[in-house]
Amino acid sequence: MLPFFMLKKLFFIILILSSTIAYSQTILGTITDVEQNNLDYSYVLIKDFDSTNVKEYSIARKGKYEIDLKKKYLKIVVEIQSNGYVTGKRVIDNPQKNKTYTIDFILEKDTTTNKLDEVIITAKRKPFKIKKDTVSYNVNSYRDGSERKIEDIIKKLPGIEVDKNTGAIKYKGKPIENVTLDGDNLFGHNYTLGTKNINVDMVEQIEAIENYSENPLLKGIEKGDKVSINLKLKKGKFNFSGNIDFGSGISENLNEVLDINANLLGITKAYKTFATLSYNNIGINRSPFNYFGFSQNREQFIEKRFLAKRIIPETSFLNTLDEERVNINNQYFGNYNALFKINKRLKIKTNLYYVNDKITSEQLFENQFIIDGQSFTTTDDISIEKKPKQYRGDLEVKYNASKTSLLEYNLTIQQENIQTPSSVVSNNDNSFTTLLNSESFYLRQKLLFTKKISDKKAFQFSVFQSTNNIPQNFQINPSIIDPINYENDIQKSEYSKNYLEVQSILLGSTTKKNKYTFSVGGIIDNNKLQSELFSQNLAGNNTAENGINNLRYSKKTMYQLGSYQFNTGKWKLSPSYRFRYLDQEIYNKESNTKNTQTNFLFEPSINIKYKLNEISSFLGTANYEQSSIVDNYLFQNQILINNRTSVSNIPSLELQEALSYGFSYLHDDLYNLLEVAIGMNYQNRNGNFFTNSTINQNTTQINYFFLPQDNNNLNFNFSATKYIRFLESTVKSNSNYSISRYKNIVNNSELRNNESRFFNTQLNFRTAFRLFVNFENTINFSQSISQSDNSNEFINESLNNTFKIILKPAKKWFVLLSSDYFLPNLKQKSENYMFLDASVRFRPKNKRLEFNLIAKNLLNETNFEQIQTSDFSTNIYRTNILPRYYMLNMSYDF
Amino acid sequence: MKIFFLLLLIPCYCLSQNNISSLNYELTRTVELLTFNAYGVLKVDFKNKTSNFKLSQYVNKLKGGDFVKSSLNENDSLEVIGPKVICRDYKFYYNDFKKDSTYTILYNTYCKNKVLIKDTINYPKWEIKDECKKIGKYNAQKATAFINDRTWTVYFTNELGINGGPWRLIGLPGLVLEATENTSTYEFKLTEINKSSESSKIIKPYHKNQTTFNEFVEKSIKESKERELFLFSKIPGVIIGEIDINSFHLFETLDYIEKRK
Repeated sequence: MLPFFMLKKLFFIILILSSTIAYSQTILGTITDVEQNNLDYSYVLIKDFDSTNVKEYSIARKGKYEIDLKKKYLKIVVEIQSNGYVTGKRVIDNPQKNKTYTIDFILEKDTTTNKLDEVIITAKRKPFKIKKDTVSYNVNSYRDGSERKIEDIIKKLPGIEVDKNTGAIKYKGKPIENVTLDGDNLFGHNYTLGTKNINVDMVEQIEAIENYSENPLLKGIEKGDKVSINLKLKKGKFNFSGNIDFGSGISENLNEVLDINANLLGITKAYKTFATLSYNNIGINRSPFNYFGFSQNREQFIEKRFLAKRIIPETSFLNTLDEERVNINNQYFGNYNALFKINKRLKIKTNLYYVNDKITSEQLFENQFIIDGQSFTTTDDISIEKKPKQYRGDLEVKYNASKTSLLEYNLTIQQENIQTPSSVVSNNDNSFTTLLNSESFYLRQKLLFTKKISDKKAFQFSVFQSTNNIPQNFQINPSIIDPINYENDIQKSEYSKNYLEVQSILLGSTTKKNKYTFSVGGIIDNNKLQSELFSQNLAGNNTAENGINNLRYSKKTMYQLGSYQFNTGKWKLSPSYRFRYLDQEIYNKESNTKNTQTNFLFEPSINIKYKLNEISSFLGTANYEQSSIVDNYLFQNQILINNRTSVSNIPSLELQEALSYGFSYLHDDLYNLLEVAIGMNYQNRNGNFFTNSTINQNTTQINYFFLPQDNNNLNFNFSATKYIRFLESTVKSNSNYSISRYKNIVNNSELRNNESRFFNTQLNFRTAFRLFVNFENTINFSQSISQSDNSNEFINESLNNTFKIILKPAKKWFVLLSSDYFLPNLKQKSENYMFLDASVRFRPKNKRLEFNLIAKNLLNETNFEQIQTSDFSTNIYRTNILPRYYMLNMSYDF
Repeated sequence: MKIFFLLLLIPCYCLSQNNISSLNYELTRTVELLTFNAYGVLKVDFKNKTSNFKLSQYVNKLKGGDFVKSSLNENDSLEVIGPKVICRDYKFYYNDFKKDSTYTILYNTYCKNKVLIKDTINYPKWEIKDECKKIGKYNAQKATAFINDRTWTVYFTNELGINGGPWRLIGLPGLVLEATENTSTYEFKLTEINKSSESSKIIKPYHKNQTTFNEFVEKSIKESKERELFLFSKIPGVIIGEIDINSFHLFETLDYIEKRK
């Protein structure tokens, strides 16, 4: 038995030993240089003896190190590394448990001349990829639950604007050419078919592309002006997918309101298709064609010069309200788009459209005229039903004859019929029924050959042919020409146009990235107009006096165009010119007279951009153009266009000279969250067709005649947007002021000088609180003043305020309440309108289903009155509005 | 006297060894199908125990107007335009290992946002792995650590006698040759070594705006969100209140990833 004091010692030894058993081995020591100076910063490495891999390490400070090994080793090497010194090494064989190893290191300076310059250890630097920042938007980042169609997302993307009425998209102020699907152009110019119908869930990414070239052979050669959007579809959806929307509800007069829409998208490697079928009677236009308002879609705007004229105008539905409130429709729309990739070289695309609509409207036109001191009023109470029907098919074939050449063929065939029956009560005592039947047959073909000569040059040759016939028939009951003897009057009109253009273009770019184009071409444009106005009864027809037109108008052009784009430092200059040989001829068969004119024209223009700094620039444009404007004013004898108006012209082949200048300043400061744009535009047109109107209580006769007189227009605009940090809101202001000077003759007056001034300003305030509630308010004020020499000034001022409350009470719910207040005439405050709308959206967890409860026009405003002033009249236009309705809409994605 | 000077010269000549090694790195940032390249230079001063990593702006962001060389399919015309204003200055990551302090110069898109962040060195907790691979003619060993919201995997070698790494990849017993991280967005690669290239001192970076790292991150994220809202507000018809800022992509840069509640 050990003595007690030894037991104590033993106990302590055991205690110490046991504590060291709990820890693994410890290695410590000092690190100094040959002069005994502590080496401040060194690395202590533990390596397995038979490997160069580092197993454990620690950093030694101020010449001392201590490292506790975490693993068990058979044989280790302790290495001390200190920059500038030779590495010190010590081997520990079979490091014992519970043992502390004290190893001091003395390191020698590393004097070897290490001039191992330029040692490249990776294969090669990655080749410099010239992939710039894409303006590529990930769809999910912009979703918040309120969007359903991809158009709703596109609206939100920075730099992108969507026009509410036509759905046209602008990127950085430039209108976009196409919306492509995974690079394929399925929709052509009518891209709203895609953006209005494709469900948000089908799209992964949206790319906005500047300097877009639809022809890949022209990339880098073509002047970079075009802009495009590419929708990248979700991978794995290489199958059929789509969605069905079904909405049903009830409107104020107990009529059923319906909104049904089905979309199908199918993609496989060689075949991409998109189809849509819809029906609605709540004022939505799902087609790319607008039969309600005046707005032309992008394609119609481009095609304007190939289309015949519609001599008898279709019914216009003027509006300052959203089209959806006043478009009382019944629209069936069907569309099928398909792209077939036959093989590597051949692609065929087809688009088919069907539209069938019925737009009804109750309109009241009240016009107060003050002419030569005399005043009188006319009223027309009209009940209209406009029934357009359209069938259209497009075909596009693209063939890559070789790697540097492309052949494209495009064909469009369109048949459109618009039937517009209406009943009119004129001046409260005369009642008429009218029926306008307009047909339009349009055939258009284009053959385009592109050859890439080199990386910097390309050549194109094209042939374009189109035919458009518009036969119209306008009937009015009873006859207004001779109501005693005849039952009705019929105005027949047929305008046809045949257009042929051949063009060859040379495009190129220089080493300095300047771009140029030269082209030569010829156009033959033949127009035929035949019309007859006659009164009809059971016995026969009687042609009205001066009621026949039969003429041919042909225009032959040969042209040479050139343009060049210089880029030097901060300046970007784009001068261009056009030489034209223009030959016009009007042959009037009725009077057997011919009118000809030949002109040689030179039309220059220039665009200048100066980049002041990274965030501001100046833009200037100047443009001179001469054009023949007689297409609309060809017929000398009268044509009846509605129950009270007939039109005739004194045609002239004289050209109109248009000179315009524009100047603007843009400031885009994303750092200070401020954007400002100021612009001015002046346009002078010398040589116009002026109106000579003879107006009395029952009839209006308008005669157009040409005078080499000026019309001019000066316009100023200003817009600014600023995000105010402490208010967490954005403020936006837009103002526009324009002055127009024009001439006319009214009721045999002298040539009057008129001036109209128009001012509009809008202020918009939007909050972006991180709360469940947000607000938005827009107030809009307009003033228009019309005046004529020595006569009264007509002034009209109107006000409009829209207020919205946006609520997100919970994740699956979204509520939007909005109020629209209109005061069309500030002088008559009692005539005001208030529209209230509400919508509640619920998206349950499975996300394929969505419910919407919509209530529109809660206060049931039934009529809207709009006032317009001209230099000799005040025109009040009253129209009916879609009555109050409630609807439940269900949407299902598959 | 002459001998004295000569004696003085000899030790000085021995000591006038170049003490700074210069290493060139390439940083590649990959976002979806696009890559951006930035270049960095790491200078390690073994005498004064300091290092400085100078990182350039992404080179591809500086100019706009060029065409994509490799397109996705024959119809893609991915010519894209860069942001209008972007700062071209460098970012600096300076470490003084003796004093245990670090000076970082960072900015968010605009030069006006530049800040200096002073802190103590935060050594990453490296886990050294057994895996090795050959990079060039050097044996490189794998190590991982969680640094600034990402898990980085690096390959380092101690055959060069230099300790260090680009950006915040410091504290390893060797030189970082390659580094990648778990979100596959960023990648560092060593491209050139200039051992003992100069003999001088690395200058500590300085800027008058000083702040802490967390404050800098918070301010950067807030300002970027405001810019996005501002861009939306320029579009007619957009209901700003409908947009949920928190549904945007998480804002991220090399130095941080936004944390959302």
